[in-house]
Formats: sequence, structure tokens, C-alpha cells
Amino acid sequence: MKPIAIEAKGLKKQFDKKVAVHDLSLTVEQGEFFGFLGPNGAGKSTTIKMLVGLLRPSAGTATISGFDVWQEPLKAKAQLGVLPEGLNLYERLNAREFIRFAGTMYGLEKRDVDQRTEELLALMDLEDAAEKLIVDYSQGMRKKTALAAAIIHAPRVLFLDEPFEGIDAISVRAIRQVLDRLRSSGTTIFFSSHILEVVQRLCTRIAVINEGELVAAGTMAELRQKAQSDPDSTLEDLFLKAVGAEEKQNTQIGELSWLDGLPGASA
Amino acid sequence: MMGINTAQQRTLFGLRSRLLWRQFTGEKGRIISALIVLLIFGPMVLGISIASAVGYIQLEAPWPAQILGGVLVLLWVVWAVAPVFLGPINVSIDVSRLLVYPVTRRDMATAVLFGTLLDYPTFLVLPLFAAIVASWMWSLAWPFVLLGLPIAYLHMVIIGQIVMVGAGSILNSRRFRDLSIVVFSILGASCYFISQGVTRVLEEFVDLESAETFLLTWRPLDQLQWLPTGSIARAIEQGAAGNFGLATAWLGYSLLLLVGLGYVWLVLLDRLITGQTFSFGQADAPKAAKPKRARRSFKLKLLPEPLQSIVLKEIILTWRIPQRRIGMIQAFLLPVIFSGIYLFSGEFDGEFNGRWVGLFLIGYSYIPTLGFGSNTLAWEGQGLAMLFLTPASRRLIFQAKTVTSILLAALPIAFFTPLLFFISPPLPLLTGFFLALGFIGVGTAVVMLFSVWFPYPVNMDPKRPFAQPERRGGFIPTLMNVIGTPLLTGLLGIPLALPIALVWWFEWAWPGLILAVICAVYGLGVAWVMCGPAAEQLLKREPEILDALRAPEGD
Repeated sequence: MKPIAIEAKGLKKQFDKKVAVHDLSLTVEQGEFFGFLGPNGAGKSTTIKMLVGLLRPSAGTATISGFDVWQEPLKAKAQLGVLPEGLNLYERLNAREFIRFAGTMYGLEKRDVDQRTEELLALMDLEDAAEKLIVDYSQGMRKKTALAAAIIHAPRVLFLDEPFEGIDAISVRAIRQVLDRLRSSGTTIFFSSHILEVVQRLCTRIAVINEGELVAAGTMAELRQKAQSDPDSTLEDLFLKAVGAEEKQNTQIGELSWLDGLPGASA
Repeated sequence: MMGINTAQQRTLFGLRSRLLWRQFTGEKGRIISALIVLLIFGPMVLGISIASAVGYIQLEAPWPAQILGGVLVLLWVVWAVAPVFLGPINVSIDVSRLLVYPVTRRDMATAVLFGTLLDYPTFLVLPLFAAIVASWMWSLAWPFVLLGLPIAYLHMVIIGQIVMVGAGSILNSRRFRDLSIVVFSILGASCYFISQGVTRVLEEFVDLESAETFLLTWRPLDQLQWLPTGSIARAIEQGAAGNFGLATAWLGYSLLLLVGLGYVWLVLLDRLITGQTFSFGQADAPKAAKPKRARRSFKLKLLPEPLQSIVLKEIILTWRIPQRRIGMIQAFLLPVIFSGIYLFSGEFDGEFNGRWVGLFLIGYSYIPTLGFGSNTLAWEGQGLAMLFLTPASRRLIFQAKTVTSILLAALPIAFFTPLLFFISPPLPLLTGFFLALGFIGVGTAVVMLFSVWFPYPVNMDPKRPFAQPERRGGFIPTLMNVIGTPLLTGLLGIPLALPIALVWWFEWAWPGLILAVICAVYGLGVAWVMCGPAAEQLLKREPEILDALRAPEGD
């Protein structure tokens, strides 16, 4: 058995009366490309924040490569690279300064920081904009900058929250190749996205969270088996079934009969 | 109305009403902000309204019409200039958000005009208009008042919209916003100095008698009448005098300008709708960026890595965040302003005891210390979460923040001290310099610790630079930052009292100076040592600090 990279035991987060995440336990092995799915407001980002040490859980524990996130936070964070939902960039730095700063904070040697920064800027196609302040960047450029900063230290565990949102096709391809390379070198990738085709293509194992609870987890084959779906069913089918949206949505779509008779359109 | 989509107008007006209502039913902070605006500007506007009404009724001709012209033109100018520096006055409806819907430019314009009736500034204008109605309606000018005031209001709204739509790309640019924050703050800080300077110049160089004669014969309306709202004042004046033909001509002139400006506005709206951006001159061609090496001064190179990198980032951010850059500039400007106030206040009798300058240095050093060190984690902005995600030693982070804060606070002290040798005996001045360093150290230690214990959100929004942050820090953090910080600084600074007493009380200059050097080491040492407990606290409280500083969600 491979060593465990991420482990959550009984994670719970309660905001006043609302339970955002309820008794969540999961294990991700070293080198896995782990997809983490859920509808909006299901508790994905809350879970990720608790796993990386940005949000204190109401109960439960989280460990990264064997280090308890809350007992040994700096050791756990040394293993991590995070592309968070809100990006968390220093808006008044430029991309070069920001990536360099991140490299320094992860304890890299100055020579390595300089070299990797230039390589990442080139890979992310940010060279021409490297001297512009991040506050003036488009959403895609911000995401690429944040991603470059998250991987500059070649983390053992990488958390990605919607990494491909707002990024052009050329950069998506480049990023996918980087992620493949990271995974083949043993990095564990915890991947949260709404683009289910990408999740299905990249992830070795997938978990689905709904209303704060883990409702399904496993490989595609295991998920199909658990859902008693046919072997051709896509992740989208399985996901909708797991969160109980399939039937409800079909009924609702059926009610939109006024969409059928558009003026001038032939049936 | 012909050609106007009334259903759309009703919807848009309803939307504007709901947005206004939600300002009062939503966040408490906004209600308080609105009340503060009304409490500050309300009495001011009421005062001007009453004063202008008294002027309209009590003063002899031609002053009532001159005042009327002044009020109407001033309002028009405020509406034209405010969007440039303070953001749009009439926020009623952001037309750019309507571009995705099938709304004609005529409907957009109408919606904006109606929407402005529900804006704060409109409410603030009402007393001024009420004063005009109350004073002039009883004269023969009443038809021109009834027609002229709505035209004046339309002129105000349209000029604001022209500036907003026409120069939107410039006004919304980050660079312009940054610059206006800095310029406005420095002008604000220098107000007293400027007014005193102007008074002195007037007293010195302007003959008061001829100035008085000029003011008595000055008829500003002779020039203002050519402006859109000035002509309305002239129309009302002529109407009151029974010259209905001239009054109608002036009103017609204003109406003609309204049609012309309205047309310009519609053309600009059209350009906005069709995606042709409007800008003054040709847009800059994108420049190819040259890779630059980070510039590091010789002195920064003395610091070990990674401390050097973090200090560099701290200094860069302090300069680039406009709200903080103001602090850097003011740190150098304030002593000049203080000196100016003293020299112009009349208390300066030409004789000056330079022995006390050193004490001034010590007292002054507290201002930049608070400015650069207070609430330091909040100024990380969005980057704070990124900082907390890294495994970097928290002690190192605080050491970097402490070094930066001390460097920046000491910079103006180091700049002014050599200059002050011209007016102060050297030993008390040097003592003051070293004690200022010690005080900066002690003060920095306290604000660093308090930034972990009592953080509070700050406004870093370049588009709303003078607004309060969306979330407040709460009672305890405010209390502790306002009262706790100086108290603890005072306590830790007690040893600094000894050299002060020696030099300025007992006049033992040399022993005082030696003790001051020791105190400087003590102060800087306290700051360095305090990085330990601050770091320890930080590691324990990171999620809570993030929560205390986060922006409100769903806004």
C-alpha cells in the first residue's frame, strides 16, 4: 500500500447553526489524482480550507503526509501547494515578484527561485505581462500566476480549486501537462472542479460531497458499480445521480415547454 | 411618453428603489455610513441653504442674483468634477450593466434621469432648491423658477454622466485612482498650511482697500451666465425684474445647451453600447515588457536571505498601496506642515530655543511608527491567506515586518536630523535622534503584537479609497488599538524617560546622550525580541485572523 498523502477524520465545520461539513472522512494515497466534486454550496471549499489549515474545523483532524495540519502546521504546509478558490494574490506585486516571493517563502535557494520563476513565467505565457501589477491582470492571468506560485517548490501534495476556470485552451493544455508531470513524479493532486469531463479524464479516484456529507467515493468503475449504472455512463451521469439532481432536473426541464416553440424556428 | 418603454422604466425605477431600500435594511455599517454622510453634509447643506435664502431675500440687487448664479454654477461644477476624483455622484443605474439587455439608449437615458431622483446627492440638493423656490417664487420670476430648476437639475445629471461615460476608461483606471488618492490626501493634510500661506501672501502683497473695491464691484454672474446653470440664474433675475423677453431668451439659451449636452451624452452612450471606447487621445500601444532584475539597495543586501526578500516585498507593497504610500509621503510632509503652522500661527516671535527640537523628534517618531506598523497583517490584503499557507517561519515574517516598519519610520527622522543641526545644539538633538530610534523600536514592538491580537479590516479598494471598510473591527480591537497601544508603548518606553530628564531637565548632555544610545539599543532590542511572542500567537490564531479580516461574502 502506498503512503497516505491526505487524511481527514471526522471533519466537521459549523457556522452558527449551519453545518457546512459534517463528519467527513477521506484518505488520498501518495501519487493519486483525486477529484473532489460537489454542487455549489456543498462544502468543497470549506473542506479544502480545513485540509490546508486556513479554517479551523469544529471537530475532526486533518493530516498531510503524516503531519497534523493543526498540531504541526509548518511541517504540513511545507508539503503543500495550494491554488485556493479566492486566489489570494498580492495584487500590488507583479507576477515575477509574486512567484519569486512564494519561492522564497517555501524556503528555496535564491538561484532556484530565480530560475524556476522565469521557467514558470514562460510556461504560463506570462512573460510579457510579468512587470504589470497583478491588480491589472485578467482572471485567467491571475489564475496562472497563482498556480505558478503554488507549484514553484514542487509540492508533495497539491490542492487545486477550479484551476481551469477562465483560462484559455493553450494554457489549459500547458497546465495539464505540468499536472501530469507532477503526478508522475509522485505528487498527490487534490482536484476540485465543475468541469466533469476534465475530472473524468484526469482523476484516478473521485469523491462527491453534497450538503456537507461525502455521498460517493472511488474510481470511475467503483462509482458505476455503486450507482448500478451502465459501463458507458459518464461522470456527469454518476454525479447527478449521487447528489440526487438527475430526476428533479428532468422534471423541471420538462416543465419548460415554452422553450420549444421559438418563433421562426422549425421543429 | 412616445418611444419610451414604460414597462422597462417601471422595472428599472423599481430596481433603483429596492437598491436604495436595501442600503438601509442590509448591513448595519452601511446605515451608519449613510447617517454619517447625512449628519456631516446635511447640516452643511442646510446652513448654505438658509444663508443663501437670507441673501436672496435680505440683500439688495444685484447680490441675490449673483448668489443664485453662484449656487447653481457651484452645483453644476460639483457634479462635473466629483466623478473625476470621488467617483460618480449619481450612481442611480450603471448603464454598462444594461448593455446586455435590449434597452435603447433613449430608455437608458430616461432610466438614469429618473433613477437619480433616488440618490443621496439629490436629497442633499433639495434644501438648496427649496431655498430658491421659497425666495423667488413670490416674485414675478415664478414661471422661470418652475421651469429653470428642473432644467438646472438635468444639466447637473447630464454633465456628471458625460464625464462618467466619456472619460470612464480613464476614471476607472487603476493608475488614475491611485494618483487621485495620493493627491487628495496630501492636499487634505496640507490644507491648513496652504490656507495660511495664501493668507500671508494676500496680507503681504495685496492692497486690502483695492481688494475691497474689487469685491464690491465684482459681478461674477456676468461670466457665469454663459454656463448652463448660470444662464438660469440670469433668466430668474430678469424674470423678477419683469423683463420677460430677456428671461425667456436666457432660459432658451440654457435649454439649447441642455439639448446639445444631452445629444453629446447620447452619442457617448451610443459609443458605449456599440463598444467603441472613448478616450482622450490615442490609446497607448502595448509595450513589450523587459525582464527586470529586482533592484535591491546596498543596505538591503546587508540583510540575510530570506529576510531580505520579505523586507523588499514589504517596502514595495508599502509604496504601491496608495493608502500606505500616503503615509510615506506624509511622514516627510508633516514636519514641514507642523513647522509652517508654528511659523505662521503668530506664536513665533523670531526667537527659537533649539534645545527642544530633539524632544520634538521623539514625539514625532510615534506618528510614522503607528502609520507603518499598525495592523500590519491587514495590509497584506488578499495575500495574507497565501502567506499563511507557506511554511515560512512566522518569526521571520515578523522580523521582516519589524525591520521594514523601523526602517520606514526612521527614514524621516534620519532625513530631518542633519537639517535640524542648523537650529539645534548638537548634543540634545543627537539625544533626541537616538531616543526617537528607541521609541520607534518600542512602538513597533507593541503594534506588531497588537496586529496579531486585535486585527481589524482596512479598506484597500482603489475605487472607493475614502470609504470605510465593509466590515468593522469591533469594539475590543478598536479600543485596544486606540488606548491599549499608547499605554503599553508608554510602559515599555519608561526607561527612555531617564535620558530625557538628564538632558532637558538636569542639562547633563553627555550622560544623557550615552544613555540615549543605550535606550536606542533597548528599543530596537524589544522590537526584535517581541517578534517571538507575536509569531507564536500568529501560528495559533491564523484562521481567526483570516476570519476577522475577510471581506463580507455575497456583496
